[in-house]
Amino acid sequence: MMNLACWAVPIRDGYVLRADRSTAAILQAAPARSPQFWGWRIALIQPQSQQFSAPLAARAAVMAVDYARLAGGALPEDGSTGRGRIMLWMEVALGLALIIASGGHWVPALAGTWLLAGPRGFGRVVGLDGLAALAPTAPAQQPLVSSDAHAGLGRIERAMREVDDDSAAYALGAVKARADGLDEVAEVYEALAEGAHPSTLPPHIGFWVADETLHNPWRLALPAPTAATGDAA
Amino acid sequence: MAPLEPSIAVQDSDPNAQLIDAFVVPTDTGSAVLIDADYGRLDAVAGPFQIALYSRLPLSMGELAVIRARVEADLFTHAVRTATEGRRWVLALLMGLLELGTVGVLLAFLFLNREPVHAVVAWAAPLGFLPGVLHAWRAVTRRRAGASARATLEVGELLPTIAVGRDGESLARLRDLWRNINQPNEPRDLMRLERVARTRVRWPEAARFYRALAAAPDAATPPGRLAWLRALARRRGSAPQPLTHLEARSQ
Repeated sequence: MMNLACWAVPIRDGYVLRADRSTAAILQAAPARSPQFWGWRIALIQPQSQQFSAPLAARAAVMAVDYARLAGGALPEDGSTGRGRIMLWMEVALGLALIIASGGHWVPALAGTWLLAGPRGFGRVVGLDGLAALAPTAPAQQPLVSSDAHAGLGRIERAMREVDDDSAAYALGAVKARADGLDEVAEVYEALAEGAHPSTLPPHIGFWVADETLHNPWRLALPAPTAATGDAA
Repeated sequence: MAPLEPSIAVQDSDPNAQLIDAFVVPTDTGSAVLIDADYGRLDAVAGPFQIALYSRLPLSMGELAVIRARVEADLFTHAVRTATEGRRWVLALLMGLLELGTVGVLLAFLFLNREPVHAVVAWAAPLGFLPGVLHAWRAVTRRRAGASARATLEVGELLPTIAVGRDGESLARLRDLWRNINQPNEPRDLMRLERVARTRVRWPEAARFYRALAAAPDAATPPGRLAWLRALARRRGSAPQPLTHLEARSQ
């Protein structure tokens, strides 16, 4: 199974669930792996407070991870792609120059033609430049969700509890999260400090689990309500 | 409702496991995780992978889970990138030889039919054919790393448990690093950390890690409406905190 992490960021009235930044990379690599490893083992990173409801958060964690799977994003590029592009253009330029300068001689014309079409075309035909499939992959097994307390997250929650004003508390949480290297957590607090309501957070920031639903897993406040269709008519 | 069980147990290493060494090392603002492992040398067929953690700081289960996820992402991203290398290396080698032959015939032709324009082409020809030859060279030299990456994708799995690092040499290096850094009246900046890692501890991977950290953009204070507040907090927050960065990166 794949080892994934999902943050349960404590806010004033509940938690914001958000997949760790490693999740997208793991799920992007998944199609290249054997299907037997396509299961999800999600570690729910939480501040270990009394109000945390693991079973409810577990459902939201699966949603947050699934969003990361669908939103995906390409694998981070290394420098080789840029270098390869430069070399490709160098080959094309020299190939054209050889054909133009050949003056009817077959040797430079053939060399130019080879540079223009040979290495790339032949490499593609014999499969030298093949890439691994990178389509999003659904989990092949039931996701396993576990809960792990994070000391830094707990410290942030305790510090925020001492501040009365919501925006100030979120700003403080953002500062502390940045100082602790918890960038995902900081982004959630920064969005909330700017006045956004938890229910209006964009999905790439996180999914809100409200306090009022904490003890009722079947009343999940997720996803955001949509306009009624058939019943309203 | 019953809480979910923690996912990670810290224990002795699995006897069949391929260990990936992870070190909690000091940084200028606290500490970070350094992955000191050559993924190309791991053999997924011989057994599953397991993180061997070397840390002088107590870590919570949540921090361990984050380290595990980052290592898994790093490992399999590296495997996907490397999997195409060295595949059908015999064909790549033949193509490289073909390119060498072509450029040889071309240079011989240009030498035998000397004209002013040919002088320019003669100088440029090796540059045009160089990429193909380099590609063949890379395919041959990286064939083992590519095979290892393909095996990692086929049968590789990172165990959910994390082992306590027991290697004496690694423990000594980490102890020396922390001891040198925690000397009073000495600045704790990345340049000094790199120098200590390179000269006193003789740990080139750690020195490279600090150099990379110093070269990376300052992620802790990105521009934005709260930037001034974050910068203020950074100046005031001089006391080191455990695990301020979790940077999982291969060397």
